[in-house]
Amino acid sequence: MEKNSKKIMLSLIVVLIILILNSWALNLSIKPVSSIVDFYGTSEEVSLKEFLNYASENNLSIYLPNKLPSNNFNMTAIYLKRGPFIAIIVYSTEGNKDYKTAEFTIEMSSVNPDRIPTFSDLQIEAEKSQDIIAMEINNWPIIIYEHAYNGHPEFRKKYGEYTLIAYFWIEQVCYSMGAPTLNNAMDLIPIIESMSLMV
Amino acid sequence: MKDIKLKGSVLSYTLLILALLFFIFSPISYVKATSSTRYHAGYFYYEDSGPSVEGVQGNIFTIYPHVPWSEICAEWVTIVISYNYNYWVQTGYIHHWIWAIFFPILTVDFYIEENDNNGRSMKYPAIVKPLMDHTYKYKLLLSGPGEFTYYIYEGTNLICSGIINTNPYSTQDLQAFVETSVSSIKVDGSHFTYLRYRLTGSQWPLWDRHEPSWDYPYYLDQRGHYEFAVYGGG
Repeated sequence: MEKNSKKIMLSLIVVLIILILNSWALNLSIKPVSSIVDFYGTSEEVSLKEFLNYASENNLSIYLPNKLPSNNFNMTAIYLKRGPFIAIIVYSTEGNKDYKTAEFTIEMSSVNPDRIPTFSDLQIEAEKSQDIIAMEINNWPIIIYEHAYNGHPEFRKKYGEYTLIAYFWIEQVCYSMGAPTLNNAMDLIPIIESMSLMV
Repeated sequence: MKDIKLKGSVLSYTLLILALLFFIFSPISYVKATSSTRYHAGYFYYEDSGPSVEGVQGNIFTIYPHVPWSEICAEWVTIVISYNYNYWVQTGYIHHWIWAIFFPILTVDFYIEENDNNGRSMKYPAIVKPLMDHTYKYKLLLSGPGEFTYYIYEGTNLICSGIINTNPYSTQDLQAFVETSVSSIKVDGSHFTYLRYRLTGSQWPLWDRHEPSWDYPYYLDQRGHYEFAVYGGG
């Protein structure tokens, strides 16, 4: 009789464990995620001339690269939010104007001078992983992530979860370059080196 | 005696077999993930060209809409870190489904969510739940390099606060929105008030400009730069 009760008790425990595992698996599959409204909702597409005029009127120094990942790349779109200043410049070999899935993009935004990191701040960050490289070019602090997560589902569908991103600060503008088709930091460095003042 | 023993064994084996069958044929196979489509209605922050913003806060009235199985309804404020890579930090409340042993249960929680270089994470920072028809203040600010601090208040009572680390931590823009995953969720009664921003220092001015945005079938009642209501859906 006692042996029987033990058996039933053991079965009940196993059943409970199975049900808890089941709930855990179900909760993973219905895990909620929220989102934000994308940049198309708050920006306008402008020409290069309009963009540079805006920058000039607002005393923003804008640098753009003279060199692109290859000769086939063309600037396909510029999306601008005038206040606060945020711009995304899209380059593509296939005429893609979507900043989420294009092969090469540059994002710019104004930054509080107090928030611009120094090269030594970036070096500390780079010590955390071999995929992070800190450097300076023309006194611009630069940090390159060779394995950065991209939050756009459309991007991940096309290129996979991770991408190559460089952040750098020139005067009071924070720049970032996203280059999913390039392999590593060495491919991005010549492009950053070629950045020159437009306005 | 032998009969009781036999019955006990049959019972325990039956329980195990039933549990295994439940596991094998459980709803895992047919549970549908939350819809990837999203509907939004609310405000983008807007300002004349100047330094970037470093904080957002707003009072959000809590509604309890009917939310279909596996879908969500959230109301939140956000600091955008990068539009290009979809990096942001967000706090608010969310109606979502959880599976509790045998049954799905619709629940509501305060939450804090981040999306950055390292991926995505969402957590529910408070044991208490947001109460229907109550207004809570949600506050989020860049408090140091790589560090955002969030606060959730009811009136002057702090419900919870904490720090989340992100990489990168540059701040670009602010948003305050109602979000649903299906248009059948009716969000009448949604109300955001006293939307504030922070540049640097300790001043929290009210939003003095905004850019409205809404997806059909939701509508926006723009009551000022720092106040709006949302209705529609269903």
